Parts: sequence; structure tokens; C-alpha cells
Amino acid sequence: MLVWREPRLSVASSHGDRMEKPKTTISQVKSGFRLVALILIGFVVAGMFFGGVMRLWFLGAVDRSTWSGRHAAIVALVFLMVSIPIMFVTMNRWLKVMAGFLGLAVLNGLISLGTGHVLANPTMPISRLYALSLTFFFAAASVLAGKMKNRKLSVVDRILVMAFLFSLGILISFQGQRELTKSEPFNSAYFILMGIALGCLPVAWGYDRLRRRRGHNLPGHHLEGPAGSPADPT
Amino acid sequence: MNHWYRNCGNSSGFTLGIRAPGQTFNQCLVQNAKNHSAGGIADLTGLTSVVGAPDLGTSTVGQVFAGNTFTGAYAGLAGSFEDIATTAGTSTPDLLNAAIGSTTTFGRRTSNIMALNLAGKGGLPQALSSSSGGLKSLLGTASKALNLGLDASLKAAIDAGLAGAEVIGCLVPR
Repeated sequence: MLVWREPRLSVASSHGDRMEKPKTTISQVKSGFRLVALILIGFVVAGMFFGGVMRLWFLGAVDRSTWSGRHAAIVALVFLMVSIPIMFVTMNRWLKVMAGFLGLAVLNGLISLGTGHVLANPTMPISRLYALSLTFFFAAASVLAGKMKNRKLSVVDRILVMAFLFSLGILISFQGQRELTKSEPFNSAYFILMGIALGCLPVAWGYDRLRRRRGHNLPGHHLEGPAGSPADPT
Repeated sequence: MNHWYRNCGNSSGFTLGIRAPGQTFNQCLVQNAKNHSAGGIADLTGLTSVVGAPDLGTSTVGQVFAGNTFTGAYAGLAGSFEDIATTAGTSTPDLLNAAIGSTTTFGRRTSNIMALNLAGKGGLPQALSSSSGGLKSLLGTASKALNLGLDASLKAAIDAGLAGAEVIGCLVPR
């Protein structure tokens, strides 16, 4: 109780410590609509990014019967030119969400492992070994992404996270095409793509450690500040 | 490819139902589960499905990455109660954790209206006492373990919303 009445010079550490103004119904409704709008915008940007990566890398697999199919390379480039700058600049905001996606992907992998078929598609069986490899991949990625979410991201971090997502997009599309042709899921490209994707995140972690050792985390540098903090220039 | 949006209506008029004639509720849920996922929505909103297959909503890696955990679990385990308990278990510690330390009085020193304490004596009554620090710590650890130590609440909320939409859609026949 005494702690509550003490003058606070530091940032509150938890929800229980914070003195919040009572929110009106209107402000809560506005906040809800803002969140929904942000989620929808996020879906559009993510869809454009992954769509752009997939189409650009596998132009041969694109359906040419439609206008966008015939101009797939241009569509993909436009998608990437729009989505990459947005994702790059706002990364501090969505990295935590990506970590959440990766975390739940582990749960999805475990469900697939237990059921023996792709998460929500009982007509598409998946071998236990394949499900296990995906579970390990997403578990490792979630742990590494979790290490990044609570610190300010440097340009190198951002590039490496984008490289991770780029590799993930190619991996999704590559494996998807192999599934369409009923090919064996395990192949050298599968492991190489997973390795590249997973390799990006430890490099970012190592680079951050190196920066700290060189003294960039002196008081005033705000390297320990949480993502999206006032110290964040984006 | 996602063609579910084309099947949202029939020739006789508009309907929100997605359950085909003669299809059971469970069959409808399983059939449409892949469309009601974050990956499926990203395909739709990002127009990735327009230019060709495969995409996030249908490929194996895409489904594991951005699939709907709730409907996926239901599809996998035919909606048994054990499965529902497993999924709900990951969010319960977070909810309890948030309840600890929430103020429940009314006065100048409080924010929520739950009880009168105009004198302001005795501090802030709380939903669960602050002295239960051990419990809070334990719940925090459990929450971290069950949520894999990450902030997955937004993805879980999206999944839950889409699962709810799918359930409503499957309750209404086309």
C-alpha cells in the first residue's frame, strides 16, 4: 500500500501499479475500432508481402488465366515495394505479434503432430517427422524472436528479420508446390531454407550482444528500452 | 485458393450461412476451418489468392504458421471437451494474473467503481490480495510456459474471433 502513495520517478512496471484514467464507453469503442483497423491493415500488408515473395520466386506456378496472373511479376514487385518499407519502419510495433504467431505455430505443430494431418485439413495427412521438424523450426524461431521483442531494433536487426520472413515466405510457397505435386516433403531445399531463416535470428541476437559489449548500451542510448518506447524513433 | 467468399450466398438471396445443403455442422466446420484463419484472411486481404496457388491458407507450412489453433484443434480432435480444455488452459493463467491487483473501490484514490471507500483508509481493496505474490509468480511462470513465453494474445484473439464467425456461419444453412 505504501508503494502506491510514493512519488514515482520511474515507469510503472505492471498494470497493477498504473494509475489509469477511467475510460469512457466512446473511447473504448474508438480504441476497439482502431485496433480492428490496424489488424486489417496488418493483414493486408502481410498478405502483400508473402504474396509478393511467393509470386516473385515461383512465377512458373502462377495461374496465367487472369490479368494479375499474366502480370504476376509486376504485381509481385508492386506488392513488395509497398509492403517492405511499411514493415521495415513499423517493425517495433509488430515484432511482438510475430513472436506470438511463432509461439502459437508451435502449438499448431504439436496439434498436427498429434492428429497426423495438417492443422485444419483432415484430408491432408502429414508425417510425424515432418510435423516434428516444423514444430522444432517454429519453436527455435519463437525463442529467438522472443529475445528481440523487448529491445530497440537496429537497422541490422530489421534487415535480418525481413530476411527471416523472406525465407519463410519462400519456404511456405516451395513446400506448398511440392505438396501440389505430391512430392516428398523432405529435400535439401527445405533444410537450406529453414537454415537460412533460422540463421538470420541468431545473427541479429549476436550482433546486438556485440554492440552492447562495445559500449553502445551506455546510459542514454536506450538500447534496453522496450519495443515501441518513446525512445523509439519510429 | 480461397473461394469461400464466393459461396457465401445462393441464387435465391443473400445469406451469411456457409453450411451446404445436407452437410452436418461438424463437416462444415472442418471443411471451412482453413479459410477462417489468419493465413486465410491474409491471402484474401492481400489478394495473394488472386494470382495463383499455393498460399498461406492452404500449404502445410503456411497452415502451421498462420492456421487457426481453435478450429484446427477442433478439426483434429472432433471437438472433444478434452481438446477445448487444453486450448483454454493457455489463456487462463493470463486472465487470473490480470485480475490480481485490480482495484475494486470507489474514491479519490481509486479508478474502478466496485465499492465505497470514501475515507480512503486501509488502502485499495484488490480482487486478489497483493500478498499472494507467490501465486502471481506461479501464474506468471505457468502463463509463460503455456504461452511459450511470448505475447500470443492478439493471434489467439484473432483465432477466437474467426472461430466464432465460422461457428455462426456453420449454424446457418445456405
